[in-house]
Amino acid sequence: MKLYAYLLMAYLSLKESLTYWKDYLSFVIFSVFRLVLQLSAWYALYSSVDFAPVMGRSYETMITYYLVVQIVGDVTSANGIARALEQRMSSGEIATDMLRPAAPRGILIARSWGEKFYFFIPTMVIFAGAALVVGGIQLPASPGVFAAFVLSLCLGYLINLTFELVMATFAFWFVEVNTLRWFVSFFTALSGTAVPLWLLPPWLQAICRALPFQAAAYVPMQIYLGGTNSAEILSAFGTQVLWIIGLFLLQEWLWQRGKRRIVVLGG
Amino acid sequence: MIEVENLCKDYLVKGAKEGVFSRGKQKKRAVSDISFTVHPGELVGYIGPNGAGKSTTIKMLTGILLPDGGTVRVDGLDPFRQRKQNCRNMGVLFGQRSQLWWHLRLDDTYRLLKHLYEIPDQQYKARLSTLREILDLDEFWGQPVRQLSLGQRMRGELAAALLHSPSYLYLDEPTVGMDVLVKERIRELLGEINRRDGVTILLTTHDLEDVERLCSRVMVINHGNLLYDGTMAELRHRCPADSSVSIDIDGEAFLPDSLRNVKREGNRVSFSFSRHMGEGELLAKVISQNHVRDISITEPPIEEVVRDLYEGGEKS
Repeated sequence: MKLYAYLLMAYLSLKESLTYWKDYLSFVIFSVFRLVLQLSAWYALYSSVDFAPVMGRSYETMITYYLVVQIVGDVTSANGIARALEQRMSSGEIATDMLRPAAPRGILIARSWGEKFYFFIPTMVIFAGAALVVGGIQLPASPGVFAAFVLSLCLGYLINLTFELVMATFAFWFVEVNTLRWFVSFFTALSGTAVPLWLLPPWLQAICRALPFQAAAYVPMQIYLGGTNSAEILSAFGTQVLWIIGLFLLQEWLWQRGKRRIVVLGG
Repeated sequence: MIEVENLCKDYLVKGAKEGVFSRGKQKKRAVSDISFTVHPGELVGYIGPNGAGKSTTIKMLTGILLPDGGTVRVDGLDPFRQRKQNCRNMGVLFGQRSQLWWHLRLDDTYRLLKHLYEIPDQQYKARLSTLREILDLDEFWGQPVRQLSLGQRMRGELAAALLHSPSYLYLDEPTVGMDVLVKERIRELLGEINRRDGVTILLTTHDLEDVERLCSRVMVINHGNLLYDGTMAELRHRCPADSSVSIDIDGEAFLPDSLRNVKREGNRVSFSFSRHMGEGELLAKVISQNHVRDISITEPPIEEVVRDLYEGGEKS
């Protein structure tokens, strides 16, 4: 019953975003432009070696990685929750959230789902268009692999979500969280959405492995492309779950301390 | 029953720079040692100038802010620690903050509230149709909230606050920015809600008229201190502040010598007037002896009432 209320909230948030559907235009133009640039770069690289594998990956794998990781990045992203809390704290809208018999974090998450779907619609269209243009992409080797991929996406989302909530709680102590968020977004670029981690020098790969972010994009992609066996998949899941538990406890602790500091001035 | 005992709330304010690096933080007391009790079915006005601590009190009663000292109990519940439980039985309206979905129609917000408060279908339908009727929502039912006028939106906000049939209604400046007619309408509605459903209402406002028209009881707060708790008539009686009268007169003006603070500007004459000093007859004299084209009487502003009360409190 309560879950339905949150789903309805996500739906209303999507509906409200759609008032400004003209945003789509600039978003689509920007996305297509970026896609064309990236694909041309990979094409140039591979054509220079007569489409032989680079770092052990074929041209088709590379293109598949690049296209699918756009979707993966969108699905697992929890961006915007910290910004939303910061805005609601400084505008005082947090007060109206706290008047409801609902969890303020639940409200933030539900609203972010609306925004997520808002951008997911054009992303899917662009993805399908691009896949057609490049002549199809590789599919997962078996339904089992696909199921593991989907599961790792869910875990990846939870990692990003709990991490974002940790960032969000800083809004209780600092007025501006977005600066911090920008700084951290540098690390999230190391998740594998910008470039596949196999192209990075070993020392940078080691750093990426020590951070939680790769588990939200690179790990699902590796499962999708089939470069991993079941033991590796299970151990990847284990690591993801550990990150989720750790980050969840941290954000819970910070939230309980932070909410006492809520100050809503004026009005 | 709302029980408030020795309630305190401090804010940290960044002070002036003291040294090169250190920056002093000062504690500012927003609410200081306030105690009061509101019984079920009461309609209480809570007044005071800007920054007096009204909203801060409301925010502690509604569980948004954690008190720094003292206790708040609403029907035995601690609003901050038992927030969700307390929420179910209260409706809140902030005059300066909307709780409606800005780009959507009213019924979208209401449908969400139905599920958030888990209102059963039948009860929801009955309640909604009652509210639509008494708040007259039908004329703008299909419009997105952003296109509503302030008065229309406030009616929509009231419906949102009352949809789950709460026993307590907290109103933080519900008539702010409204014209006289709309204010009057909102007042009527609040009175009706209080009488019909026995909803306990706590109302903060700058507008003394709101309180005079609606509230049997008024509490005055300034600098975080509760200065007065009693009837409105008693408050007026205690307050010696002057009203100001302004009269447009045709032809030459005949004015009694005992008028105070007389100012003339062309045909317009203005002077101070106080009911408490038996000046009613004086005013009648001015009106009967002159050809009066227009007259306006301005009640002392709330700041003045409160200031008088405050200064009086310090003297005694």
